[in-house]
Amino acid sequence: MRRLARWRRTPWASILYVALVLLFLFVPLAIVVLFSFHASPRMAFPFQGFSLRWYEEIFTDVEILRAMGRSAIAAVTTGLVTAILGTLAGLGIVGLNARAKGAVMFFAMIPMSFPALLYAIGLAVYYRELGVGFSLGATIAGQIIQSLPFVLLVISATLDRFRFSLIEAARDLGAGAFHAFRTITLPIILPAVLGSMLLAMALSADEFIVAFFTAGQDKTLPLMMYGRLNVKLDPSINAIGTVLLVATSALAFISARRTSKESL
Amino acid sequence: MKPNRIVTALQLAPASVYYSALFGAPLILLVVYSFYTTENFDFIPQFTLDNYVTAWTSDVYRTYFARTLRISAITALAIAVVGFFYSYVITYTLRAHRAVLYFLVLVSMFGGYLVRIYAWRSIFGAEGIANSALMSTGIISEPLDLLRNGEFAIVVAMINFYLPLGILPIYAAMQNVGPGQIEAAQDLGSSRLGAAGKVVLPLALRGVTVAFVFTFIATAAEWLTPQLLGGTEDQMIGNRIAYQFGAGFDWPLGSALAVTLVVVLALLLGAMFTLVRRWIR
Amino acid sequence: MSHRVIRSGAIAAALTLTTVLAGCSAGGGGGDTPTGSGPIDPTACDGVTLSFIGLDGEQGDQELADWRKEHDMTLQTTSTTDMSQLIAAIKSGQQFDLATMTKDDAQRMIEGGIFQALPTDRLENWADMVPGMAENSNIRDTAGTVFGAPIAWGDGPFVYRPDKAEIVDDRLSILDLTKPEWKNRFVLFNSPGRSFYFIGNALGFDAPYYSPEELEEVAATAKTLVQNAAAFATNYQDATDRMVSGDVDLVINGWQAQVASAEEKGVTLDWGYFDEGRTGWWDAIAIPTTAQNAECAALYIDQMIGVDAQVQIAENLISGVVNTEAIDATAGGPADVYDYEAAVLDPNTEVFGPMIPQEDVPDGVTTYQDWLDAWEQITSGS
Repeated sequence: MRRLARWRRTPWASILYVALVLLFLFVPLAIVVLFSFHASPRMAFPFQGFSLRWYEEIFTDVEILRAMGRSAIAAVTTGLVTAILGTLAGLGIVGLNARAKGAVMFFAMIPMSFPALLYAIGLAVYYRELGVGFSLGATIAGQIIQSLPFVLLVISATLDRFRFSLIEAARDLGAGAFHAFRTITLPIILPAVLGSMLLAMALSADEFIVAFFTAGQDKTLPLMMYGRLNVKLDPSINAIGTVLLVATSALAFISARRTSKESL
Repeated sequence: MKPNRIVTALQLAPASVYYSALFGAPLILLVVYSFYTTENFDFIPQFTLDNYVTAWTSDVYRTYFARTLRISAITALAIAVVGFFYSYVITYTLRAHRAVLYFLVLVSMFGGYLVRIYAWRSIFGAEGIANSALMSTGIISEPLDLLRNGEFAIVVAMINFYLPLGILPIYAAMQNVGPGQIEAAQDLGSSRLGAAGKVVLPLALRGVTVAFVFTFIATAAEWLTPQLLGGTEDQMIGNRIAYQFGAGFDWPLGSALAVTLVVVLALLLGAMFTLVRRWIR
Repeated sequence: MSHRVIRSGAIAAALTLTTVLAGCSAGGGGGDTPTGSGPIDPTACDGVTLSFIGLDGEQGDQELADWRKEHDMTLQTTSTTDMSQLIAAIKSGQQFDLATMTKDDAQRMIEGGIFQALPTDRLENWADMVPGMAENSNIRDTAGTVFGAPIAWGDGPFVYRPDKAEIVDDRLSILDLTKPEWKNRFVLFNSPGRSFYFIGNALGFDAPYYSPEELEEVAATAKTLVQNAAAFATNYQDATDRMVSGDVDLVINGWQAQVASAEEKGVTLDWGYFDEGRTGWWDAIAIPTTAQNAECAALYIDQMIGVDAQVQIAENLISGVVNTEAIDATAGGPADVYDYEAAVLDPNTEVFGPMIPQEDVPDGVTTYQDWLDAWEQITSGS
């Protein structure tokens, strides 16, 4: 009887719904990963056996390795710069009154909802007008704008929950401003800073549109993949996609664990 | 505590400078370029409204804008509905597992936009997964033309890609509505679905609106999905903008189209926000 | 107060950043022209670095690697598939020694003044250039001066799946594809070029030069063609992929190289020609006006049209060779798919005539811009 009751109480419809949505979300990713191990150069069913040949191909291709290097540089730079700018701005926002804070956050969030294509062409126009040309640096500068809102969101959410009375107490006890920051504020916000830095890295590594319009000859991994589509369409692009997927979701995973206590 | 104003200003300065120099300035320049003239492979600062006349009066662009808004609206609406129920279920019904279920959605955001579009091809192709599954189960006897002229493939692929972006704000908004409020509604005789409609929806409406707006904006400027999954008459305004910045080589016209798109989106979504706000009151 | 600080700080920093960024910009400037006479001395180019802009794979990267090593030369490649971007780059003063010049864009590139005359009399291998290329009017300006050396060509067939589409004798009219039985069974490129040319020929017009009324008729037929097509192919690989996966059976603007790449995936493709003619392509290399080392650029081009390089290029690109002495060497190889007799050994061949209106059309004849406008109208679906 009791077992039956539990069976009845189990929300089967909800479980089914969640499962279907997740299935829908992950089917294309599963196909990308599956065909990256395909023994044949065709990217369609029927599946003709497993092989690591495409991974061997991409990890021995100098151009692809170079592109991986560029993507890594872009990710690390974007992560570091956004973390620094975002943390400083987050601390600054705390010092504003509610109205100013709302306004600043509103403007700061615009790049998050601004269409990437339109931002990318705006950057292309800008770089042309400045005469600086297109390069990896030009792309990174744009990717920082794209991930800054996310970082700011996470950090200010953390700081919102932060009790400033702690600092006041420390200051009352004679601690210097910097000392108070180092010993109290920093340890509390550090997980959020690191977490959002990793998120920014993941966003940068996966970013295509800004890179497409501003990287010039400095092709990042997603651009290299796009270029390959024109020359040889085979599962090596799935292998690149899988590498990107593993790298970005690992970053996102660590990021979520870092920030989960604070803001999720 | 009273943070020192100068310290606050100094803390805000680097990001503000960065935003102005790399977000504000490029967009201002985009607007400036939309008034330029293209001549002999150069863009000349010779003020003209021609680009806007073309963007606003030609049948060609009106068709592109109308199609783009239709496709984006369908996609964003679908995302808002699917995203609302997903967030609802993981927040209230499967509460114990919500962190994992939310995280899985976030992870699906990554992993390459391009390679995923090609994955959709192997799903929707004439000999693809969808058709072979439907045919082997006997639901259909002839392969469906899923990839050919028609917006179906574009819409499905875009829902897939942007759904996480929609779930994000809805889920966040629901965290402010405690499960207690739902139970209270159910105690008063509402069904579970009724509770979702009566209690959660009004409170999470802001999140749902944000989800709709975000995904509407993002899909309205899409260009690769229609290019790779659409037929010959399914191209969107993003394709024309990208073309003018590529082989078409008319950046000023491309800029005018971009500015027009931003204005149209701002007007439409602004009107929607106002309506929603009134409705909540 | 803080607002004012932020604002003035922002403006000051934006200005500084702008100045710094502008200071880093590459300087433009005039280029070098070949000055000497007689054959170019290869040793004068030892240790030189040449920079190329254009189609990746057509700069002799692999084919001339050994030769460059011998002369301690370096080749820098800026790859672009977009001739408009290339023209703009050179026009804005960026320095390149070598650049791609494609057939359809050749006239506007020459007219745009971005290339310098090619000293053909000083190129040892020019004498062996196949007549169809050497005499081609598209590599010349109106005065007859040559601006580029073709390095590869093809004859523009349609490519199809013989197991799914029965095409008698590999012949088809472009008008067949507007019929219902071809609905959703083929792809084409998103450009009016080939379709308008074929359709005009089919309707009995003097392609590619149409009166406005004729263009209207061509566009009306092209609209049926576009509506009948399954999709636009973004490039040859994309078209091949769609045929391999069984989504479509034919691509209008094909390339013989597709057959080999489909074969790797276990699908057999074949090619044929439209009744309305062959639309050949060639890609050439030219010397931009901004060249820093025009003399050595000319020497490099001479190497590119030499027998050794030509045989390799043909096999790598599955293209036709431009050097008469290289034709036999490709026999039996992967690039042995071209009809040299019909295409390039006769200087008056139509395969490489203009397929789109050239720069100076007479009054009352529609321009390429008119074509593009008509195409935009068609593809908008309005």
